[in-house]
Formats: sequence, C-alpha cells, structure tokens
Amino acid sequence: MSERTPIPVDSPFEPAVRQASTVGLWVRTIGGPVVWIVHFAFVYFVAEAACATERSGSNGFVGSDALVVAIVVATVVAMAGCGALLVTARRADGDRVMARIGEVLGMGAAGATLVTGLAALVVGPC
Amino acid sequence: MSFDVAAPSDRHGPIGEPVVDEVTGLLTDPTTPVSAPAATTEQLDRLWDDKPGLWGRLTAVQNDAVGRRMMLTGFFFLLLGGSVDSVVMRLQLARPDSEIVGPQLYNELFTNHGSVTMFLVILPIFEGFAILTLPMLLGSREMPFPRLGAFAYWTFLMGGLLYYSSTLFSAVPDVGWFAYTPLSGPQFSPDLNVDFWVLGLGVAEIGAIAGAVEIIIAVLKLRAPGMTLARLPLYAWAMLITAFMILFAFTPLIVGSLLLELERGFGMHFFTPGAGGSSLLWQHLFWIFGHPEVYIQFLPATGIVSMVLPVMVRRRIAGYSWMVAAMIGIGFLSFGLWAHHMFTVGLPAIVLAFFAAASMVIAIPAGVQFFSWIATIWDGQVRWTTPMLFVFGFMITFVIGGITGVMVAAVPFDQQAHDSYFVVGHLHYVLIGGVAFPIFAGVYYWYPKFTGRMMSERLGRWNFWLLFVGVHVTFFPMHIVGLLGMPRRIYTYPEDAGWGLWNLISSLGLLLILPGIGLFVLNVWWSRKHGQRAGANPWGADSLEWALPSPPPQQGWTRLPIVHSRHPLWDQDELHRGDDRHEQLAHALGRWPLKWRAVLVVGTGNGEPEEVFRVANTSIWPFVTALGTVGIFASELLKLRLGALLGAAIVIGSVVMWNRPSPPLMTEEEELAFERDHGVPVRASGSLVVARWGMALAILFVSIAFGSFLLSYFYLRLENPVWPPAGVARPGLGIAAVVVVLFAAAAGAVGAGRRGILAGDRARLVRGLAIGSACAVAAVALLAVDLASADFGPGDHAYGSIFHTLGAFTIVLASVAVVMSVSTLVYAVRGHYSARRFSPVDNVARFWAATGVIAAISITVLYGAPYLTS
Ligand code: HEM
Ligand SMILES: [Cu+2]
Repeated sequence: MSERTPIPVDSPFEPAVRQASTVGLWVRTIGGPVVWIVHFAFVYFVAEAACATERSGSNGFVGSDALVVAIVVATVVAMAGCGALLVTARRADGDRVMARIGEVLGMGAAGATLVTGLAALVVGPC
Repeated sequence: MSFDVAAPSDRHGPIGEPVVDEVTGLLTDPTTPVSAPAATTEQLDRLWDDKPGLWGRLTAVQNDAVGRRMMLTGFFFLLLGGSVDSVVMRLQLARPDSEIVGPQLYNELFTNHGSVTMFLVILPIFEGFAILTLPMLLGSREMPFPRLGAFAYWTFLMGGLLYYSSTLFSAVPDVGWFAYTPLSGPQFSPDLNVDFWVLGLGVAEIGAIAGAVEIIIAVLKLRAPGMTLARLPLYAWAMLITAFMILFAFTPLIVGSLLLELERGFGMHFFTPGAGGSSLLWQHLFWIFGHPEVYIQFLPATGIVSMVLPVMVRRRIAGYSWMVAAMIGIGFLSFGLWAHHMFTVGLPAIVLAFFAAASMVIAIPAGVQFFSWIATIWDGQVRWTTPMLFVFGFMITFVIGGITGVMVAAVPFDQQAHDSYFVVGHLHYVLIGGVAFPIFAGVYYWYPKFTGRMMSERLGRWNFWLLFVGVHVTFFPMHIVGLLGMPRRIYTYPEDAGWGLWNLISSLGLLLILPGIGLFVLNVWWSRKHGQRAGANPWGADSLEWALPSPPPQQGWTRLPIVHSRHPLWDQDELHRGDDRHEQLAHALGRWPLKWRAVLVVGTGNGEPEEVFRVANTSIWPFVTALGTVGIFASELLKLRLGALLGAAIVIGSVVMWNRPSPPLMTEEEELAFERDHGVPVRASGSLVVARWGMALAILFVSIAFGSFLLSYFYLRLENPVWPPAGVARPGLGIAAVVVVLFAAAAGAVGAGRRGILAGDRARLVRGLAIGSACAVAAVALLAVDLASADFGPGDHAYGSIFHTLGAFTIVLASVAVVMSVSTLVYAVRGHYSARRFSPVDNVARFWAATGVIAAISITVLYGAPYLTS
C-alpha cells in the first residue's frame, strides 16, 4: 500500500490526494455478474418481443427462429465477455482477495449465462 | 448515549459491579485491544450529542438515535401487524367452518400482515441496525449524511402511520400484499383501501431508499485507515450489497405504485386490458421488486450470522472471498428470478425456462454460504450462548425453507403448489428461520455494546427454544395442508376437506411462539437495568466495535483505529499503531477540530485516507421535509390536489434550507495548514468526495426510475399491435428536436460554469448557471405546451397514459434540476463557492449532465417510437 503515498501539494486548487481510480477494481470484481444480467435482460426482452409477435400475428419485431438464433449468439458473446474479463483480471495486479472474488464471480457468471442460454435449445420458443 | 443505563466501562475502568469480560471461559487470550482513552473524549461526546428535550428529539440526526429509533419502530410495527393479525387469523383457521371473522375482515388481516412485515418491519430493522452499528464496526464516527438518515426515519415512521391510519377510516387494504391488478384497480377497489396501501407504503419506500444511500456510502467511504475492501467485515459487505439492491428494487416498485395511483385517481390506463393496458405489467413491476425484496431481507441476516458465528466458535470464517462472492452473486441473481412468482400466468415457455434456471442457480451461492458456515463450526468449538442458539435455529430452519424454495422453482411443481399453503409454509420458513432468527441473534449479540449490560442468558434460552419449536409446529403442517390442496388466503374451509387437524396443530404452535416473543420483549426491558455489566468485549469478538467502551461515547471513536487485519481485535495487539502517517493523522484527529464534527473518508479500495470533512449537524429540516412528503401523499389520498401542491412546496423549501451552506467554522488557510501536515484535504464546508457519491447515487436512482418507465412503455408497446391506437396521429418531431437541443445546451452551460469556478472565475460560474437555467426553463415550458396541446389525453388509451406520464417525468426531473441550478446561482451571486469549496456546483453540473441524457432518450422514445411500427 505504501506506494500509494498521498502527495501533499501546495496548490489550493487541487485535491491534495489523488484518488486511485476504482473503476478497474469494480470491472474486475463484478464485471461477470453485470455481463450475466445484461445477457439475461436481453434474452428476456427479445423473447417477450418474439412471443408477443406470435400472439398477435401481424406486429412482427422478431420471429421465433430469429429468437433462437439471437439467444444463441447473445449467449456466446456473453460467455466470451466473461472469459475476456477473467483473462484481464488475471493480468491485473491488485488486492489478491478481490481478484479471487472477481474470479469466482466471473466463472459463476459464465456458468449461469450458459444455463440461461441453453434453455433456448431445450425448450421450444413460445 | 440515550440508553442512560450504565456509565461506560471497559476493562480498565469497571464501575462497582463485576463486569462480564468474557462469557464462557473459552477465550484463550482475554486481552483483546481496546481503543485508547483520550483527554478529548468528553468534549467530543458533547459536540456529537443531539440536543436535549422535544426539540432535540425532532432535530436529532446522530446515527445511534436514528438507528435505534428505526429498529424500535420496526419492532413496534411487528408487534402490531405481525402479531395481532396473525393470532386472529390462526384462531379463525384453527377449526373448519369457523365464524370468528368474516371474509372481508380476513382479507384485511392477511393483507395487513403481509404488507406490514414485508415493508415496515424487517427493512427498517436492518437499516436501523446498519445505521446504528456500521460506524463503530468500520472505525468511523458517523454515517455520511446524518440528515438523510433522520429523513429516512421520519418518512418511514410517517409512511407507516399513514398506512395504519386506514383503520381509522375503516378502509383497511384488502387486496393482498402484492395488490394485483385489476383487483386493486379503480373498478374492483373503488374505495380508499388501496390508496392507503399505495401511498402509505410509498412514503416508507422513499425512506428505505434514503437509508440505502447512507449505507452504501458509509461502507464504501467512511472507514478506518487501513481497512481495505478485502478487510471489510462480512456484515458490512452484506449491507453494502443489500443497500444497492434496495436502490434497484424499490425504485421500480415506486414507479409501479405511481402508475397504479394514476390509474386509480386520474383515470389513466396502464393495467386495464380494454384500454390497451396489461394487468401483467403490474405483476412484473411488483415482482421485480418483490423477489429481490426477499433477498434484501435475507442478506443482512447472513451478514449477522457471519459475524456472530465465527465469534461463538472462535474461528475465522472459512472462505471469506467465497462468502463475499456468494453474496454479490445472490445480489445479482435475485434480479433474474422475479417471474418465478408468475409461473402460472401463461408466460411463454422459454421465459419460464429462463426464470426457472436462474431460480435453481441461486441455490448455489446460498449453498456456498452454508458450507462456509459449517466448515467454520467444524473447525472450531461451539459456545452455546443465546446468539449461537439462534444461529443454529437459523441454519436448520433456513435449509428447509431453501429446499422448498428450490421445489417451487421447478415449474411443474409450482403449477401445483402455487397459491397453496405450501407456499405459505415455504415463505415463513425462509422469513422466520432465515431472517427473524438472525435478527434475534444480532440483538442478543450487540445489546451489551449499546447498553453496557448483557441480556439474560436464562431468559434467552427459553426465548429461543419456545420460538424454535413453536415455529416448526406452526409452519411445518402448512406444507402438508398445502399439498392436500388448501389454497392460501381463504377465510375458512369445510370440515370434509380434511385439513382440520393440521390447521389445529398450526394454530396451537402459536401457544409457544407468543410466550417466546413475550420473553424476548421482557428480556430486552429487564436487562436494561438488571443485566450483568458488560465489559468492552464480552464475547471475545474480532471486529472493531468491541474495542470501544460499552456503551460507547457519542462520537464512538475519539481516536480512530488503524486496521491491519480482517480481524483486528484478534490479530492486532494495538489498535493505534501503524504506518507513521496513519498514526499521526489518527492522533491529530483525536484533538482537532473540536468545534465541528470531523469524519475521515478513505479510498474505496485501499482504505487510504482521502479527506477529512465536516459531517452535518442537527437540523429540523429532515423532519419538515418528511412532513411535506407525507403531506403530498396524504393529500393525494384525500384527493386534495391543492394540499399536494402545498406539500411539494414544503419539500422544495425545506430541502433548500436543509442544504444551504452553513458557515464553515474555519478558514481555508486553517484547512490548508492541516492539509500540509497530514497530506489529507480538510473540508469544513462539507465533503467533496461524499457529496460526489451522494450525487452519483441520486443519478442512479433517477436512472433506475427512468428505466422502469421505459420498461413499462415498451411492455405496453408489445401488448398493443397498433401503436399509437387507430385514429391518433403520430407526434410532430420539430418541437421535440428543439427541446432536446435546449436541454443539451442547459447541461453544457452548467458544465462550463463549473469549469469556470474550478479556474477561480466566479463570473463564469454565474454566467453558466444563468444561461443553463434559462435554456432549461425554455425547454420545460416548450415540452409542457407540446404535451398539453396533444390531441389525445392521458385518459384515452394506454398510449396516451404512458406518453403523458413519461413526458411529465421528464418535466419533473428537469424542474428539479432547474431548482438546483437556480439555488446554486443565488448562492454564487452572493459570493459563495471558490476553487476549493465548489462541491454543490460539482453536483449540479453532474445532475444536469444526467438530466440532459435522460431527457434526450425520453424524448426520442416518446416522439420516435410511434414511427417504429411494423
Ligand atoms: C431468503 C430467502 C427467501 C425468502 C425470504 C423467500 C420469500 C418468499 C415469499 C415471501 C414468497 C411468497 C410470495 C407471495 O406472497 O406469493 C415466496 C415464494 C416463492 N419462493 Fe421464496 N423466498 C426465499 C428463498 C427462495 C429460494 C431459494 C427459492 C428458489 C430457489 C424460492 C422460490 C420461491 C418461489 C418459486 C416462490 C413462488 C411460489 C408460488 O407462489 O407459487 N424462494 N418466497
Ligand atoms: Cu421469489
């Protein structure tokens, strides 16, 4: 921690301590779950749109076949996203415990995403 | 400390009676470090105390006053709504064909019972717990926004009372705790009952969100030097995640409730199928809140268990990082489960599959937590104190509830069990076993810290066993009658249904639960005066709060601790030794400043000191703001539209007063002197860092609300093949474009003003704020005129309703931003703000940037989506 010694500066116009940005930390920690939830929301809304189409006939946004394709593609992309996060997290140096938490969450998110996506192949569309 | 029962004592200064330093003799090394005594303790204690008398009570903002009140009020509502209602219901159901209460009263009873426990009991108890304990646990002196905490309490109390006042009007809500439409709509519930539900609980929901904001910032920013994220106690993690969940879950509910009230009171259509609405939209909005809500109640409970259990078995928690990951995982997953409450409404098969999958997956992190606790016990040696008994009761009962949860998460099973007593059994196992037992554990565990006295172990044991056995006797049979086909929410049943015996057993269980709760109340009361004196650390615990005297002084930490470990009291010999810089800073803050309430802010990740700021002092304005808020809702209830306007005026006025700059009590030079010595900026006029976080969360809140409106918009869009409905012209795009440009200009001008003051140029700030406010007023006026001149009204069709509602939301949001920029302008003209003291300007600029983006999206959707027709 000592390498982050605060730098007292004389200028009154600057905050005296530069705050280490924590964006990277958050991305590495909860990036996986965020990917999962974005994927979940996406496939859910596409499914609602497709099935509403099927119910009302005319009002087509997404057809059922397109639905299955969309879900599969989204799932592949999301899992790739989780994988990319895991790789970057491994390279970054920082707190070991937080890195571990991010790793567990990233792998969990990939698994949960897969399980969600598989539904499209197992259960009929609408 | 307002529990004026015992003078503070610690191991160094027991007063008179023998002091319990350690409970069962298992503590191998009884000398855990204590916080160093300091000469300034008493002076700071007076500085941090709330004022005496009635005025003092109304203006109190101190975390322990607010936290304790929230908890006590939560318990009060529990006794009122949790107990009386349930006793009457169980009496009624004990025998078949019983006529103690009729169907209408029975409807009111279960509605009240569910609503009160889910909105007015567990949530305030946990928020109160957090507000009370977090500063001590984290090695800080206060919560970040004491006034917001006070506001949270008042809104919660007044909302609860508004809700309960329905009894006086004989209009008790009677449509179930989730108020499904169309039953709760104007057609089937024309009286005020549902309005009390929507509006009373609405006020309390606002309080919940305010409390969440406090908690998030407290955990992320207000900690002892050296307490990195990885050293956070698990309870703090649990509360952090819970608070985020509250923000994400309660906001859609508030939006849903607003839509329901617009439908009920203003003739709009969101949930009426005939006019383009969808009753499922309500179910979605409700359960997007409702399912996370159950985990909002559960996570803090696991946090308490993760604190109490390791102490009682004298082992560090096994798998800390797994534990944190599991809690974060639960927080996220719980937002992907809501439709498992809608398995029987005819959702598309694939949608059912998504939600069933997520519901099953969530059992994994819950299991991880469990195994981690079991491994911890395995490794240690159990001390069977009362808190540990409740932890044990929690583990047994919650596992059963979790298993029945996974059962109902399977779609085919749920289609049988839905709306049957099986679900009632499930939810009480998880709520009582999973949530109430840990609350009891927490009260027994922390009571000595705040009162200086132990609770009676003897009463505690009786308390536990009566409750534990009683809960199982009462709720286990419900699974069986449920599988035998007994539906929930029926006021009686015929003899030949064959459910009589099980129901009788259920009701008899209450004979154990009631004395159990009675003993708890008695114990809390009796021990205040007669409990054994507690030392600083009677349980031999590892977390920081146990280094303080019991009860602690108002400021908690006179000299801040320096943390090197996740278990500071077990691993550190000394709490005030550390790296020179930290030591000097902690030492300096014990003696300076003595005129204002100073709190240290640390870096989110690394726990390095970042800022010393002045936390707000006592104020009447939170109370007045809460009165105004409840005034708006109460007027809406009585259909006094003018009263609502008055309430809004009070809210605006009091929020401005609440936030007006107060004299900083210190010159910029004095701040700079400390800054040079310690390398940490001092902000006697209010924090920059904390204010930024506050603004970020406010923006998050607004964005979630906006997201919920968008969701409603597109859901209605999907439900309506023709959009806009036949005969309605598409809106013109010209004015929309002008409005978007004006909003962008407003945001840009305010941003330029901010850059001006950062460069020390107040004139540029004034100019930016003036131009920005003017553009914004023009945009708002233009948008309002355009909405008002539309040829379809809000009551015509769901299209008109959502169009006008989303438009009005944009107007309200922009108006809030205008009020902010105008009041900042006034202060700027009067000479406030400098390149060092610019925090409010910073906030206005950020809020304006967000408003610009949201307005642009909103107007694009409103005016553009009607063109998106296939
Ligand atoms: C903290 C733990 C939990 C709490 C506090 C909780 C609470 C509740 C409550 C209050 C209800 C009833 C809602 C209503 O009034 O209709 C309910 C129903 C349900 N719970 Fe849980 N629950 C928990 C854990 C679980 C778990 C782990 C699962 C699945 C893995 C689950 C699955 C369900 C399902 C599917 C229903 C709907 C049953 C139906 O109405 O048909 N719950 N739960
Ligand atoms: Cu649920």
